[in-house]
Order: sequence, then C-alpha cells, then structure tokens
Amino acid sequence: MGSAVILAWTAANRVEATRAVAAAAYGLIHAGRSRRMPSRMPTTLNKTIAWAGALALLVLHLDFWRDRGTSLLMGWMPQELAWRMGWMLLSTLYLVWFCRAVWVEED
Amino acid sequence: MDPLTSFFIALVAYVALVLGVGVMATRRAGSSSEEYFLAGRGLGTLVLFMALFGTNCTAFVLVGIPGQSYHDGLGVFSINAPIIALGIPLTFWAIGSPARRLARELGAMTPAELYSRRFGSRAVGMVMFAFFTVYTLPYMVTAIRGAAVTLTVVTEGQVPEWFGGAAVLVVALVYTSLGGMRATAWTNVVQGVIFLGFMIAAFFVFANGVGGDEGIGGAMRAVRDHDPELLGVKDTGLYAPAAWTSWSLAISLTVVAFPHMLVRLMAADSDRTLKNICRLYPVALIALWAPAVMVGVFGAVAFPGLEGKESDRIFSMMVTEYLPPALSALGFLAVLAAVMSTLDAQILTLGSMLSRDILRPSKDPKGDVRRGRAFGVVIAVAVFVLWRVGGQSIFSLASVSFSGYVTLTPALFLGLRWRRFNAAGALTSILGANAVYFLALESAGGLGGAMSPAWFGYLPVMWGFLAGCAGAVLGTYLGGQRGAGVAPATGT
Repeated sequence: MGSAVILAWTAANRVEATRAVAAAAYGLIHAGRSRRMPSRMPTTLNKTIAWAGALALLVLHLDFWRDRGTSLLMGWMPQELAWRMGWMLLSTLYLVWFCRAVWVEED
Repeated sequence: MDPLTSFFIALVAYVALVLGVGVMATRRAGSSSEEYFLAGRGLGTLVLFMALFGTNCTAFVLVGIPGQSYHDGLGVFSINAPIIALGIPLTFWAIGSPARRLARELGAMTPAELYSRRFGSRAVGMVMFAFFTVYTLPYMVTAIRGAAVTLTVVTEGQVPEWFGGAAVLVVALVYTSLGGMRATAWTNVVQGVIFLGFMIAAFFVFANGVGGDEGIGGAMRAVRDHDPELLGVKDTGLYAPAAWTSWSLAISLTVVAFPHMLVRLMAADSDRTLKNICRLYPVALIALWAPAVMVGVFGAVAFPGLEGKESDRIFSMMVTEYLPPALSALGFLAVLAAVMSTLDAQILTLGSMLSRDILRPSKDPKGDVRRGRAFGVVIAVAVFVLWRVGGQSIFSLASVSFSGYVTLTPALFLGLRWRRFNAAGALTSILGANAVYFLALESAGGLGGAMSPAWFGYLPVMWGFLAGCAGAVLGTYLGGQRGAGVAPATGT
C-alpha cells in the first residue's frame, strides 16, 4: 500500500519529485564541504577520530556477537535489514565527515 | 504488442542511443592519446560517478545476486552491501586519489604505466599488466555469456547464443573505438540510469505483486510466513565468522584494483570530484543492492522450489510474471546495459595497456589512439574465442579473478603511500601474494574454491593479501634503494 502511494504521488507530481531527488543529491554532494580551507592538513585529532571511526564501523559490521533475529519492525521492516541500513547511514555520515576533515585536496 | 516485438523495439532504440552517444564523443577522441584513453583527465562528478558505478556493477548484481538471495535471504545484502559502501569510497581515497595526481604528474595513462614510471622499472609494469590481463579476461567472458544467454532466452531462441555474444561485443567495440573514454563514460550514464532506475521501480512492483494490496509490508510478512530464515543471516559457509571476515576484505578492496576502475579514477578532473563521488557511492549502492536482494527474497515466495543454480533464473521469472511486456523488455535491457557498461571499460583499458605497456608509447600523438583501437579489436576477438573454446574452466576462473585482484592491492597502495617502497618490494609483493593465493586455492579445492575456506576457516584471498603485505615489506628492505624511482607525494 505504502509503495503504491509513493508511486502514485511520484506519477502525479513528477516535477516536485525530480526537484526533491535533485535537492537530496545536491545536499549530499555539498554536505560538510568546508568553505574556509579545503586543503588544510588534517589534525592529529581528526586522524585519530578517522581511525577510531573506521574501526568502530568494522566491529559493528563483524557483528557475530549480535542476535541476528528475523522479526519485522513496525510490521514491515526486517530487523536484519534495519540494522544494516542503519550501519550504512552511519558509514555515509562518516564518509561525509571524512571528506571534509581528513581528505586533503591537492590540485 | 507481444513481448518479443516490444523487446526488439527497445533493443534497437537502446543500441541506437549508445551508438549515438559514441558518435557524439568522437569529435575530440582522436585528437590525442590523453583525450582518447582518459577523456583529457577532465571527467566531472556526474559523468565520472555514473562511469564508475556502471563499470563497478555488472550483470551479476542484477541476475546472480537475486539468485543467491533466493536461497540465502537477506544475508546476501548483509555480507556485501554495507562493507562495500564504506570500503570502496575509502579505497578511492587511499589509492584512487594519489594515483590520479601521480599519473598526471608522470604523464601515465594506464595503471601499469603509472607504477612502471613510479618505480623506474619496466618489470613492475609488465608483471602488473600480466596479472591485470589474466584476471580481467575471464571476467569479460563471463559477462558476454550472461548477455548472450539473456538475449537467447528473451528472443525465445531466435537469436543464437554465439550471435548474441558477438553482437554485444561489436556494439560495445564500435562506440568504444569511436569515442574512447569519453564515449564509454557517457554511455555509462545512459546504461546506469536504465539499470538503476529499473531495479528501483521493479522493487515496488514486485513487492505489490507478492504482497498484494498491502505492498511492501504484505510482501515482507509473506516472506516471514513462507520461510523466516530468509529474513535473517545464516551462520555457515560464507556467513561463518572467518569466511565473513575474509569476504569483507575481498569485496571492499577488489574494486579499486580492477584496472578498468583505476583508470577511470585517473580520469577525474580533480580531488573534489572524487570526494563528491565518495559521498554519493553509498546511497547508490543501497538503491541498487537492496532491490536486487529483495527480488530474490520475494522470488522465493512467488516461485518456491528452485534448486541450486536454477535460482539464477529468478530475475527473469519475476520480470516476466509481474511486469507488462513493455516494462519487461526494459528489464532485459537493464541486464544488457549492466554487461556493456563494464565491457566497454574493459575493452578500452586492456587496449590501452597493450598499446602503452607492451609497446612503448608512440611519438605521434594519434599513434597510440590508432593502436588502442586496433588492440580493442584484438581483445574483443580474444574474448569471443575464449568464450567459444574455453569450456567450463574459464567460468571457474572468473571467481578466482574477483578475489585475485586483491593480491595486487598491497603494491598498489604502498606504491602511492610509502616513499621507501621500491620495485623489489612491489615485485615480491605481487608474485608472493599470488603464489600463496594459488596455494590456498589448491587447499580450498582448486579453481572452484575461491569462496571456500582454505586454512583456519579463512578464504584464500585473505592469505594472498597477507602474503602481499609481508612480501612488500621484506622486498623493500632486502632490495635496498634500487628501483625506488619517483617518490610519490604523501598527503592524505
């Protein structure tokens, strides 16, 4: 039912839907972009956070300690899929931060 | 209109579209080898992103992943999608970004040429060329077979397999030869939109088909009622801890070591473009992988009882069952688009490597382009012959290749990030890693054992990678300063 509503809305509001997708992509590209010093060297603190963040994500991915249940959250979202989607959201946020704080542009 | 007619109309329109894009890109392609092989090192965010994504995602994601998910459920998503969403962008930073800068500085146009100049050693370039080629050819053969089988099935045998495979090769070869990197990048935009758009739309349609009026929720509950294990993760085979860990390493590192991916990273116009791509990559992976896995999971409810490799047909079964003829034609085009978006990059890259790594770069700016085009034809013919005469062993080699690329990553990374790393270290790393990798493969059951545990439960790729790291350090310190070549800039 939910997907039918989304499809129907998208079909009826193609211009708005296109704008929404474009705005989301633009926001993602520009998220966390530093306007001040894009090529400054990363601080030791940022490097440490980057390593710790990557390690934490790795531990959360190698999650053999977790109960990998098969229940549905809210009656439709598999628990396993929700966990992985959450992990991917975290890693996307990490990458956005990483690109701003650690990755030096050398052009 | 019957499904076959719809498919032929869609096929003709698609071929006309990609050839048209190829022709539009010819205006600048022949002006210099840098323009032909690397699009003038000027690809921006949108085109480069689609070029990388299209090249990265093969027909395996559309056909093989649903087939695997049919049996293994959401575990297929869990073991693959999250770690590549993090790993691939980080390897773009670790290897892609410095490779792009150093290649521009040294005037290198292929990965092997880059490392050959970096170390001042032709031997390093030749060894890299050999492994890149050996690992890429079986991959191309598998893709051609997938496209040929798809065409034969959809046309109900009217297009024979050999003809379908040859036609796909010829079309990809024509637009690649016409416009070089720029043509392949722009056609990848078209192809990426087709297969990504199709998979997202198909997910909703299939959910409605399986779940009825209750849509996604109904489909998920139908899966739970059919087999709740499909909503979880197994704990045996590839999903056991040691194998899971090895596979995470393999799938996150291998992509940047594909020569056809690395050369695209070298074509970026700036580091900022690469950063933009790293931010977009995880979102695109979710958009493709989640529907691909759910096609298989929903398929287990819609068509229960498929055994073993029979489940590889689940994608086409779902498409035929739930989509109207016009849209089902688009589904099969999506498979073709995924095949061709990888194939064109492979033809171009192997052609450029033959032109510049085996022969010495031509003094005539257009000489390399002519040779690249000629070698593209040679590669296409070689792939076709391997496919027709190679037998089953060539398909076993494809899974060996996927993990095999990982044996090159220690040398690729350290060559750009460690000033002291030298030619001896690179050669020891690559040769040692591959020797150990094939020993581990033998222990895991031969060429078919790339995804089976070798020693202590870990996959062969893990042992090859560790040997590559050890070989790099040992070779560098025992080899002295010979072959240190041009030290790379070590920023972050």
